[in-house]
Amino acid sequence: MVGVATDERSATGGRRAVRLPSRVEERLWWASGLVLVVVVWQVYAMLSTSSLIVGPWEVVEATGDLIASGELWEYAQSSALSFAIGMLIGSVSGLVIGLLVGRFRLVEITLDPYISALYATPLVAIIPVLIVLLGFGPLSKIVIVSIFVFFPVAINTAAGVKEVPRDLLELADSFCSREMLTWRDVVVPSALPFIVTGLRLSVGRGLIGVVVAEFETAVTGLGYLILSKSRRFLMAESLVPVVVLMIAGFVLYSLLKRVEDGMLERRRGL
Amino acid sequence: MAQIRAENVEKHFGHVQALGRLHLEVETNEFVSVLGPSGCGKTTLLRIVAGLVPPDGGTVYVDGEPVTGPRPNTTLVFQHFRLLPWRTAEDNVAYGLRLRGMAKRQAREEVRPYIEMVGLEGFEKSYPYQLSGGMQQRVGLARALAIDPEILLMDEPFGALDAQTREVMQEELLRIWNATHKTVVFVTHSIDEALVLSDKVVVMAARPGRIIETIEVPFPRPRPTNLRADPVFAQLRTRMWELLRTTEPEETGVAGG
Ligand SMILES: Nc1ncnc2c1ncn2[C@@H]1O[C@H](COP(=O)(O)OP(=O)(O)OP(=O)(O)O)[C@@H](O)[C@H]1O
Ligand SMILES: [Mg+2]
Repeated sequence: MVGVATDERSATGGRRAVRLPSRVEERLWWASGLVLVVVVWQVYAMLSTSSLIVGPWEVVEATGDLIASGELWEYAQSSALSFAIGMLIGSVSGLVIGLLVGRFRLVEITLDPYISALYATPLVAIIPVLIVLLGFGPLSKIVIVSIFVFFPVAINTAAGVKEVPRDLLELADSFCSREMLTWRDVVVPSALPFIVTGLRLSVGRGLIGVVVAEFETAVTGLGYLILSKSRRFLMAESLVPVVVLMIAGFVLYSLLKRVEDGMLERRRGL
Repeated sequence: MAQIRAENVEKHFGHVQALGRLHLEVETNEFVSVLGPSGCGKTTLLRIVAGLVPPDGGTVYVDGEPVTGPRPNTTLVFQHFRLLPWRTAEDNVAYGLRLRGMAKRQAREEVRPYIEMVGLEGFEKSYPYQLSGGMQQRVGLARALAIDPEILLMDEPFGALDAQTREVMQEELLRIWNATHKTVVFVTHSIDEALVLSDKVVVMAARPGRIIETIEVPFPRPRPTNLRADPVFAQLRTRMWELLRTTEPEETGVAGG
C-alpha cells in the first residue's frame, strides 16, 4: 500500500547513518522491496481458497479489460479533471490566505481559530452535507478537493512566511523596497520550500477528497468504479482504480519532493 | 552644516542601554570611522542613522531633516552581509537597482564594473552558499556601491577579508569616495584601518554606548603607502589603543578584526 506520509520534514532534514549505502545498493533494495511484496501477495492469493482474494496477476488482467472497454480511461479522466481543478483552486486560495496569515498578525489572530479547528476536523464528515448542497455533479467534487487541499497549503505557507529571516526583511527596508516588492523578492522566495511542502502533503488529501466524493455521489470517477465493481464482487477490477490512484499519488508526491529538495539545496547557506 | 547630526540619541533593548545620549556630527563628503569594543552600540547607531529603527530618545538629522525611515540616498553595508540565498551573486549586487525599476538585463550590465571592482569576475552566477565568507562580504559591498548612494554607512565591511584583499578594498573605497563625493561612516575594529582611511575617528565606550573621544586625523591626502612609518601615526595609534583598553576592562584587548 502507499507509504503514508509521516514526514512533516523540517528544513534541517533528517538524521543520517554514518555509512551511506551506495546508489546501486539503494536501487537494489528499493526494487527488491517492490518485488517481494508482489510475490508474497501472489503466493498468498494462489494458496487462498476464497474467490474474493485476488492476486496481482488477476489485477493486471483486469486492467487490460478495463482499458479495452474504455471504462478506466473515462472514469480516470473524470477524476483527474476534478482533482486538477480542485487542486488549483485549493492551493491558490491556500497560498493567498497563508501569505496574509503569516505576514499580518491581525489576520492570523482573526482566522486562526477557524483554520486550526477545521484542520483538526476529519473533513470527510462534511462531504455528505456538501453534496446535498452542491449536487451530484463535478462541482461537488471540485469544492471538496479544494477544501481538502486548502489547509495543508495555507498552514505551511503561513509557517514559511513567519520563518522569513528578519535580517532580510530589514535589508529590503534599507533599500527602501515597497511592501509588494518585498513580497516578491524576499517573502515568497523565502517561504517557497514550505509552500511546496504544503502542496506535497495536500496531494494525498486531495486524492482522498476525490475518491470519497465519488463514493458519495456514485455517478462517475475512479471512486465510483471501485464502488460499483466491489458491489458486484469483481475484486480484481475494483482494485485496478486503487492501483491507478496509488501510482498517481506517488508520482505527484515524488515530483514535488524533488522540487523541494532542489530548492533547499540552493539555499543551504542559510 | 553637518550632513548627519545625531543629537542625544538613546536606545534601549529591554534593560540593556545600547546607546545613551550620543552626539555625532558628520560633514558632507567626510570619512568618519567608528571604533569601539564589541557590543558598544556601533551597529545600533548605524541602524538608527539609516532609519531602520527609531531611537528611544533624541533625533538624527540628515541634511537638516529628522530621520523618520529609510532614505534612498543612504545605504547600509551590513556586518553579516545579508545576501538573498536564492539569488546569484550578480543578482544580489543588482538588488538595489532592480528595486529602482531597472530591467534585469540592464541591471546586470550596470553591476559588472562593481563585480570586477570587488574581484568577483567568474562568480557572477554563483549562489551565496557557493561563496566564501569574504566573497559574500564583497557581494554585499558591491550591492551597496552599485546604487551610488550619497551616504554610505558601513558596518565592519572588510571584517571577513584577508589582509591583501582588505588593502585592495580600502584603496577602491577611497577612490570611489573621492570620485563620487560620498559621506562615509565606517565601523571597524582595526585602529590602523581607521587611521589610514578617515578624516575623523570617533571612539565609543559601552554601557551605555557613547562617544568618548573624537580624533581628527591630520594626514593630507592622497596618503602615502608608508603612512604607518610616520611618528604621528604611531602616536595616534597608541592613543586610540589606550582609549579602547580603558573602555573595555573585562576583556584583554581590542577585538581583532
Ligand atoms: N535587536 C536587539 N535586541 C536586543 N538587544 C540588542 C539588539 N541589538 C543590539 N542589542 C544589544 O545592544 C548592544 C549593542 O549592540 P550592537 O550590535 O549595536 O553592538 P556593536 O557595537 O555593533 O557590536 P559588535 O562590534 O560586536 O558588532 C548589545 O549589548 C546588544 O546585545
Ligand atoms: Mg555590530
